[in-house]
Amino acid sequence: MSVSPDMGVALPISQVLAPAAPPVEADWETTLVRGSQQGDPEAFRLLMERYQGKVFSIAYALVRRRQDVEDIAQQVFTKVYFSIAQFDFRSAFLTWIYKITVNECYDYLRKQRSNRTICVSEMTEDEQRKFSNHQSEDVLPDRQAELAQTTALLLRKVPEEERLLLLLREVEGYSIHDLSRMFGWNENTVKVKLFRARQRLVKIANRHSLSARKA
Amino acid sequence: MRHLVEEQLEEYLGGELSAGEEQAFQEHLEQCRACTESLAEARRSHSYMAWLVPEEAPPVPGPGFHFRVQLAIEQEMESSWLAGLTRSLRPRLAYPLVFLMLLSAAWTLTMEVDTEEEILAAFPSQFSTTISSEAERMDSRDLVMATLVDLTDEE
Repeated sequence: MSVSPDMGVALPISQVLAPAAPPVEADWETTLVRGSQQGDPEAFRLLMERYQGKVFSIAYALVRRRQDVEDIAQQVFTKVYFSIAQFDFRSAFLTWIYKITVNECYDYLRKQRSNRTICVSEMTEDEQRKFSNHQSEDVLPDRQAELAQTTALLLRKVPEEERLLLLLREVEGYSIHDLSRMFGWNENTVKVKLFRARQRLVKIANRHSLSARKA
Repeated sequence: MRHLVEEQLEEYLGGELSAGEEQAFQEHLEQCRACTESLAEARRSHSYMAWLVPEEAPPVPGPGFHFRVQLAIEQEMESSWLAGLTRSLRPRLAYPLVFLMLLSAAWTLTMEVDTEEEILAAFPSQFSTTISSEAERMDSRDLVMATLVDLTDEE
C-alpha cells in the first residue's frame, strides 16, 4: 500500500498517535473489564482483587455471618464471570457488581429467613423505638445482627436503584459528588432520588407496624 | 415556600452545612411543617440504615479465595455445558441452534417405524418370492430332488 508523502503533514501528530478508543475507555478498570469480557483470566483475576473487598464488605453488612460471607462472595464472582459479557459500560462497574452482590445476599437471606430473621411486627415497643433511633449501645451484638437483617429485608422492598443509592451513601459513605459521577446524574438529581428513597424506606417500615412508634 | 430540607438534607445529615446555612435551615424548620416531617422521616431512615454499618471490620478474603472462585467457575462450566455453549455464542446463533436441536428431537420422536410386513412389501418382488402354501413347498422340494437325481444319472 502506498502512503502519500503528504500524510504526515495532513494529520496532526496527536491525531495520528491517538488511540482508537475514546479516552475514557483507556483507564485501567475499563481495560480489565474488556479483557475479562474477552476471556483473559489474568484480567479477571485483577478485577476480582480490585473488588473483592467491596463485595465482602457489603455482604457482611447485609448478612452478618462471617462464615458465610466468603461463600456469597464466591457466588458473586462466579456470576460476574458468566455475565460480564453483558456489561455494557452504561453504569459504573462498581454499581453493577454491587447490584449482583446485593441480589446474592437477598437470595441468602431468603433461604435463612425462616429461622434467623425477626419480623418487625413481632418487636416490642421498646425494641421498635431502639430500632428507629439506632440505639445500638443498648442492644446485644447478636440482636444487632438481627436488626441489621431486618433493615436489609425492609430495604429489599425499595426499588433497586434507590436501594443501591441508600447503600452506597449510608453504608459505603460515598459523597453526593461521587454518586453523581457513578450514576451519571447531576448532584441535585442524586439528592432528590435519595430524598425519595429515604421516604420510601420509612413508608415500608411503617407498613410493617412501625408507624405508631416513631421516635 | 422553598423547601430547604429537600435541597440541603444530605448536607444537614452529614453535618456539612456552614454555621450560617445551618441556622437558616433551623429557622426554616420552625416555619415549615412539611420540612419538619420530612426531616423526621429522613432521620428515621438514617437510623434504619445505620444498623447495616457493622461495628467491627468485615472479614477479608482468605488466601485460597481466588482458587475457590476458579474451581466454582470450572464446576459451573462442566455442569451446564449446554448453557455454557449458549452463553459463549451470540444469541442470534444460539437460539436457531437450540431450535434446530429441538426440531431434530421432535422429528426423531415422532418418526414412524416400519413394520416387518412393510419392509417385505417394499423389497423388490423378484427377491421376495415367498412360499405361500404347504403344497407349493412340497412341489419345490420334489423339484429339487428330481434335479439332483437327474444330475446323478448323468454322471
